[in-house]
Amino acid sequence: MVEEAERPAEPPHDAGQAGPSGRKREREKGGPGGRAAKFRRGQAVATHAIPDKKLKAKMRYSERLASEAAHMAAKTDEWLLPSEPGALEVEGMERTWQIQQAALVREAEEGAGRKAFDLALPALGPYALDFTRNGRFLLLGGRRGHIALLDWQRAKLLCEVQVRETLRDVQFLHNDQFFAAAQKKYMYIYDKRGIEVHCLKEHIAARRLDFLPYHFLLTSIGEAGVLWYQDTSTGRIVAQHRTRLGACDVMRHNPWNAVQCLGHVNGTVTMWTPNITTPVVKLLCHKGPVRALAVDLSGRHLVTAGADGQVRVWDVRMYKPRHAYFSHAPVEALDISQRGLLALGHGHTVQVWQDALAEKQQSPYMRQTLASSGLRGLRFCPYEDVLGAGHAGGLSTLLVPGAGEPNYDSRVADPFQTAKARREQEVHALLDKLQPDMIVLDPDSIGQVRKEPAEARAAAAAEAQAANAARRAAAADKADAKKRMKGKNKPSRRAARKKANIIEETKGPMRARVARALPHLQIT
Amino acid sequence: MVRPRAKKRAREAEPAQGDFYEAEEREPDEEKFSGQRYDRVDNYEYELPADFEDEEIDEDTAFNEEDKKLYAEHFPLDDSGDEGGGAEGDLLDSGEDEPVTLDRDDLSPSEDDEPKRVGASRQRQAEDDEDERLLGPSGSDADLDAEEDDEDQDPEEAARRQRRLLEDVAARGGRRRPLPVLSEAAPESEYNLPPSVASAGNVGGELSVADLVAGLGPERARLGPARKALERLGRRAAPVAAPLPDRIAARKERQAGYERTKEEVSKWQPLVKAHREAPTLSFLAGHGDAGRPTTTAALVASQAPADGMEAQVAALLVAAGADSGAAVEKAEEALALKEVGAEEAARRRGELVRMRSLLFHQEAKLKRLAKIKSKDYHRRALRAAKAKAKKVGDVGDEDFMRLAAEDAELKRARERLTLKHRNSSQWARRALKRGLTVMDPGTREALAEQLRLGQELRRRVERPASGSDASTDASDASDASGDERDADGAKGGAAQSGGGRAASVRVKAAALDLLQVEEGDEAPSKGLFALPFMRRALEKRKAAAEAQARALLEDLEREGDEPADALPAAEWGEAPSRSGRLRFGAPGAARLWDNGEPAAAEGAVFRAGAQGVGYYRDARVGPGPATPEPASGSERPGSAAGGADDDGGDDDVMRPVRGVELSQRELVARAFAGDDVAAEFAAEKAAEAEAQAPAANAPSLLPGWGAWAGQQRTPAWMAAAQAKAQRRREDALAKRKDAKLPAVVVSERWDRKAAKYGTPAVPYPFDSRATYDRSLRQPLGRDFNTDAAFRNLTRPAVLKEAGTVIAPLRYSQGAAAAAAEAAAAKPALRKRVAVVSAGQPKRSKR
Repeated sequence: MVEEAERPAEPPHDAGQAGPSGRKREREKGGPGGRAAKFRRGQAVATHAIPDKKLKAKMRYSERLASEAAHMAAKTDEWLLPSEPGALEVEGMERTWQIQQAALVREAEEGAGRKAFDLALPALGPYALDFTRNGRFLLLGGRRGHIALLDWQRAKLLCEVQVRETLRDVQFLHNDQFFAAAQKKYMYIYDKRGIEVHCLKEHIAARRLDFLPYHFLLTSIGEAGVLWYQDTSTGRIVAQHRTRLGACDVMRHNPWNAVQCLGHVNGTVTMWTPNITTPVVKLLCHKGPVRALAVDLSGRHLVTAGADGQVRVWDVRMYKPRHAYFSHAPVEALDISQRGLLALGHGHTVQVWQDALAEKQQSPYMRQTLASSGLRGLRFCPYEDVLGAGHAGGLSTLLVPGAGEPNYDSRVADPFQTAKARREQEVHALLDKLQPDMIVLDPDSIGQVRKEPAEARAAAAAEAQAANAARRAAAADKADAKKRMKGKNKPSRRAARKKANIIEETKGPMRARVARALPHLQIT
Repeated sequence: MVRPRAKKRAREAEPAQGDFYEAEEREPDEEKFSGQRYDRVDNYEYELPADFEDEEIDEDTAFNEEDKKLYAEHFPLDDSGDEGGGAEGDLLDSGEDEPVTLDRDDLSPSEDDEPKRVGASRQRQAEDDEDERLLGPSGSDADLDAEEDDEDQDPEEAARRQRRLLEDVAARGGRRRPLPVLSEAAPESEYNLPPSVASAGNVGGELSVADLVAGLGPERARLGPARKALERLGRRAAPVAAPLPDRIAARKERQAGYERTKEEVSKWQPLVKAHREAPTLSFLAGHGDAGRPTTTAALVASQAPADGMEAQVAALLVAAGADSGAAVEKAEEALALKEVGAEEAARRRGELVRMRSLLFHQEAKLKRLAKIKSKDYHRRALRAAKAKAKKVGDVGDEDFMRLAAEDAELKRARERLTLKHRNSSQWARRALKRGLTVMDPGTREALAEQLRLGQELRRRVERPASGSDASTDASDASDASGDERDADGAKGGAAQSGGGRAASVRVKAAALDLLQVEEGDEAPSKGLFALPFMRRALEKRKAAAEAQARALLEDLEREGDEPADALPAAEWGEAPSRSGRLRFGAPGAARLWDNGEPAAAEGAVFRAGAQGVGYYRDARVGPGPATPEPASGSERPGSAAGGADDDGGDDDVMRPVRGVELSQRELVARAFAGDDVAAEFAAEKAAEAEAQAPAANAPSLLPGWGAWAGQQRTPAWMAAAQAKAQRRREDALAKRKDAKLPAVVVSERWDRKAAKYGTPAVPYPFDSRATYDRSLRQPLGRDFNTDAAFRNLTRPAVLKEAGTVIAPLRYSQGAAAAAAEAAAAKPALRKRVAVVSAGQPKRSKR
């Protein structure tokens, strides 16, 4: 459920069934009925078996609404989302990876061609980078303290900061208005003008930052190997988990369930939620340190790269290795695009693989040698066919046809958002914010029936009993205090007696003073 | 005049002896009251004194029925309500202390008064006698005296009365004396009928005019001429039947009332039902309130010409006969008819009739055609029926069973005739004889197809219901290798049986083929091979080969049974199967490829090169047909596609792990591997699993506790408890999600904080988990739905604006009919918003 909006729709069940049967079925269902199949969510329940009439009517109505929703979605998909994803096509003996960027730019249309550029910043690299969720803004963070916020498609520099200390990572918050920077000791938050807004001293020596947009959680991990979750809407620290696996330099989240994935030096990848202080899943992925990892939008595939030269693809829902690739030098950076293209690279080489997650491919889709070596970060730009690569010599963007989702949903991320729309979206996002404890391994389990273990049940019962007992005791006390009575035991006297029994420090000296001043009084 | 009532009763029951006024014979009660409808009941109620005068009570202030209902507790039980009350009172109120009552007879003088009174006195006398008998002479002196007095006065009293009566009659000239007011102490009921009715003698309880007149008593003489009229009326009019008993009348009334109320209430039913079932009720004062014409015709109909020019134009139009469409049409038709001649008009009419008739026939034909189903339909129906028959098995429809059986028989016969599945036809034999190498692809494919068919048939025979992977694999593999089914191939396969899975599958297929070929072959009947020793030798060889193949098959199957998941943890990093690879080059060579070869470290050398000192690929042992490595046939795509890979080895960032790179991979692994991370991980996992498994805290033997001193062995109960605890623990460990995944630890810890987002049981009103889960399945947000769907999914149950006055529902026939119709319609056509405006459900215009 979490972040499902961004994930591409699941492949239709009867997709690829070209030919008469598929067409016939579509005709029988009337127009886009066949298309609606991919928007249906599971089988309908058999309502005729429900004995309760009211429930039956309710279920029938909700089924009707759901099927109508699927139908409408299919129609929208057919008529309102006309853009087709791009692709590279070659003929004969040619291979797509033989096409160089220069040739691509030459052939591409004017606007697209301008999106491929090299930014030479040789002095302050290597550069980490991050795109906003709508793909419009780009944040660059140079190792030697250089931060730049760009409206990259319009080649407009919005702000530039020199923090004059080591900068390890940069990360946008929920939109382009704020970003976080992991500096030498602390983490800082800057606004879009480059003004320091906060200094977060808990996140000491952070190396990697990440942001969960639906939960407004900023996460960091660093030299101490402590994973911090900080709520950026309330400012509170939500959780802090000690991984006990040493310094950590690899962190990405699974967009499907918002679980944080960390890569460690002992070759394991651990997955964390704010609720549990131990990893919910631990995978042994490599025999050497994990260098990079990425999870695709559907949350199905995890790709890890290790120092042992392996690049492994895992089925995260089954926790099974799918296949492995091998590289001569350990891969330093990884990213998966919205449409499932895998980019990876080391040194000055970058490769893009198509359809490499579900099944094993034999050759890359594209490859490119960068202007400079020292690759630090790879990020696909959302809703664009562009791959950004931050390296020691600055930034390079590559055209990767078919990388980005061609149709955007302006309620989720709008590349052409105006200030007003942005404000509105901010409010909506805050209203729709998910609580941090809703992050679980299987987001579909939220709301469903889950059988408590016996201990948990017993603990809850004991807690309830204790609370009840406390409440009863408090009520009894209150009633006791209110008891109306005359004579020796009336409440005020009892209270006085209780008070009189308390030995106070001041009492003795006071008595002595009174005795001195009024010797005729006999004080007992 | 006040006398105890009981005495009176006694008097009545026993008439005095020697009473000369006694007119009739004494008769027993049962005879006396036999003709009466009801048992006689005495009246013990208080009767008003003689001088009682009813006061005038205003009608408004008097108690009416409603007041009675209101103050029911202050009134005695109504006879119409509870008939048991009176009778009960009678039963209980017996004895000496009964209420003193006035006798009505005393108040109204009548002819039979005197004898009764005398009778009464006699009765009292008898009673007193009896008292005396029981109590003795000194029982009640005073009483006796009083009685004596009474008895003494009696003749005098009678005389006085008679005198007074005579005076009255004489004095009554024209002056009217008001009749004494008779007030009924007890309400009228079947238990308290007026004596006239009771004594009328009418068995059916009918009331005639005579009865009414008789009720007047002596006064009837004064009716004068009216009496005659009344008598005439009495003769003419039939007697009026007595009313039904109250209970029955009330029941009937209730019944009628219920029917009426039911009708009144049930007319609301469709309206209320529609309201209840509507997912959303809208009380918005919408723009739909004012009825707006939506069609052109409605607009025209509602158009009234305003004054001035419009009115003039309208008047002109009416005058010209062009005020409506119908009028214009009519005028045009008339005009047209005027132009054509008579014969032309007749011809046209004839044409019209002809067309109409044609149309009718065409329609009838189409109707008939519509009933005829297409060939396709019949074919489908037949197929469906066959499938059904197959599913239901023996119990299916006989016809379809027969058809299915016929079909199967036909198929079998065809196969028997053609023997396509064996490559034994002349064509196939010749093609095989010519050799595989010179075969064109088409022929090869056809042969393969035949082989496949044979495989399938044989498999069906051998393993009737197996859909296992192994068999499909075998068949697939045999497809690929169908073109070279010779014994050598099988032997080659046998030699490499220790190889990878794919190879083993292929070998298995070859072995199977061999077995089948040998079974299918027949010994030559003539020529060199027909000689006895040759035949013996052949058979021997065949038996040996068969035995070998069988042994091989057994071996393979034993290997194949091992699950892939059960591989040891250290080996999971093995190179994956190469079944999905692209292959180039000769197919024969590719088939012999094997990846079971151990990783060769010779693939790379450590030397100083262009990139500095490090591991470089050794050109001498690099990929190429010259290498001893059998995988040489399968070239890397890079080199196959062009020389791009050759210019820089490092340029190729990543490639699939495979045999050629094993050496390199090995080297890198050795260079970067941590210190036995797999073992560490396994230990960690075991520790975590142990920690989360239930504790095996079974009782164990402590010296001096739970067992006798010097006991040698563990008691049976203790051993059983320990075994049980151990079993529980092992079960828990085996049930872990990661039990079969050596490289994974999935935490089993209970997420306490997220527990509040789940529910321990299916909530009301859902009846099952499936229903509940389904109700959560559809996401509601705008991110996942179109705008309309979002609004439908999240519409509140009641829509209202602030300040909207919600009027109670009003009834209208149209709305009720519409609601009933909607309820009968399909659920898909039902509306999802019921609009209620000013208490009136709105009907939507369809």
